[in-house]
Amino acid sequence: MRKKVVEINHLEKGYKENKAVNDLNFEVYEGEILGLLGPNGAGKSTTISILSTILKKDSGNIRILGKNLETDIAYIKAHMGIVPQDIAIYEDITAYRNVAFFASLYGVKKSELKSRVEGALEFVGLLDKKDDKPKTFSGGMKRRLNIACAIAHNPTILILDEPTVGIDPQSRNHILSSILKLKQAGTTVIYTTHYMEEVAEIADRIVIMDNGKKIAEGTVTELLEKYKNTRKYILHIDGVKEYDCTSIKTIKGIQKVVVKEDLVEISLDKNCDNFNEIISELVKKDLRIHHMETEEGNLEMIFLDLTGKKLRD
Amino acid sequence: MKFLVLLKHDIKHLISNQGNVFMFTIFPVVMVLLFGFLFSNMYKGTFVSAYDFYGVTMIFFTAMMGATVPANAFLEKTIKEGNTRIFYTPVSRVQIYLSKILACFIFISTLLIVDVIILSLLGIVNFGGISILHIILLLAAFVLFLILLSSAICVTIRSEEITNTIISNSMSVLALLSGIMFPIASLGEWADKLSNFSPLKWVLNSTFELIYNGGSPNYVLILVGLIALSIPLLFVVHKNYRPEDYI
Repeated sequence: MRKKVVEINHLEKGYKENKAVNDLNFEVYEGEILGLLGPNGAGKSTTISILSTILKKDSGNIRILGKNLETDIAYIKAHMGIVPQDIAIYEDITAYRNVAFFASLYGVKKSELKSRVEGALEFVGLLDKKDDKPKTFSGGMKRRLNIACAIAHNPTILILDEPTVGIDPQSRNHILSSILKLKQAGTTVIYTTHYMEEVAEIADRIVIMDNGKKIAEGTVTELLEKYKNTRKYILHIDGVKEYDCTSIKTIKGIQKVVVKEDLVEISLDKNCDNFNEIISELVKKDLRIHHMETEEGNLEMIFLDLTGKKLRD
Repeated sequence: MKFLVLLKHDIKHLISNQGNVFMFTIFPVVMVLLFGFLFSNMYKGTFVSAYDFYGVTMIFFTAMMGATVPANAFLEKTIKEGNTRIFYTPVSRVQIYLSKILACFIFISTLLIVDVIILSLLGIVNFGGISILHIILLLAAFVLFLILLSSAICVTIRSEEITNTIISNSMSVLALLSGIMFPIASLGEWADKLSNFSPLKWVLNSTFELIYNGGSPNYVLILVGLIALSIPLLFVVHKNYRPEDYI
């Protein structure tokens, strides 16, 4: 049986009348990478802030490494590494001193400090820049240093909040491969991102949040299973907003029709694809399709279907 | 141990700011020498020289200006982001703000005490012989009070610029009221009464009494008063320094 390292039960957190996190429940198992997905305002960052002890919950129960988050803060903090979304490093001291300072605060002994710091910098590919100040670094290098500061004390759990925002593909690949290496070394990772392809690439399991609640959970395969027979056509049609789509809904195999500004999204059973009938219906209404896209069971589609929003919304 | 790492880091940050170091080393000494020289004629024939008068006033005036330092320690742009990461480490919130307050106190009071000792040893300023120890203690209590006052404003407002504007303006008014720029009593009785509200005037009067009378009847009262006033300010810092406000 897999060991639970993070257990969140009935977690609630509100700001005035708005509930940022509403009866949230999920677990994270030892050694896995959990992808935490959700559109802006879903409650991901609030959840991460509560897990990293920056915010206090209103109610619910959180256990990390078998300890209560409220009563064993120092123990939990010592075993966690946090990579915040905003780069949290000192620009005016060297990369080495940045990592060494935070490692010391996590209790790394003086005798081990040099090897731990250099190890962390090597891990993120910045050892040759150890004597340089971050103010001379590119955005990607700063993000990598942001990670090095969180791993020098060998955390059991690493929480990364959108660590690849606004960086070049090279740094992004480096970060993703580093996270996979950490997983291989036994670190449990909680990873939030706006990039679906990153989650598909590295996450063992995914929790999708919206409006402060968990709306789906499972492995990528499990989530895709539900949608494996679904195909979606996105038809771009001028002036379609006023179009009455009831007739399309009656076509066999159609699961869902959504009409937006200048496009129609039609989800259907791909074993029962009546594309010609759909086109005929549209032609009958004198509607002109000027562009068309097709999507088949992918995470982006799942996300859109569950939340009604694109991940980057 | 972790607190010492934090304290060392905060002191290093203050030392790395050349403006701060200048403010508490060269500035007061140059001001004493400059004002001492410029106004030496005015003090001819009195037992207090211009160097003696400005030696005391400039040291305490510089201490007052030190109230701008906590804003730098808590909120300066180049360290603000790095400081947020400290909240994630197993260091308590109390240790974080205490380290900054203590770093400011050590930094300012050490440099000013060195100034006092140098000016005294070189025979430029009379600090009253053995009374210098009492003056140093009073100076330290005054610095502590100002740092806590500034820290309390700083963690409540959470803006370096606004805090510095409030502190600089308030300190200038208090300095003006104390009479170090010109004799405030010459403006009338009301001005003289108003000047009693300036803590700078309290410490200056007490210091001059220590130097020239060999003792000050209000010394203990002022010393204890400054420490007593510091306690509620520390409570304000404790209440208002919340990690979530900095994330």
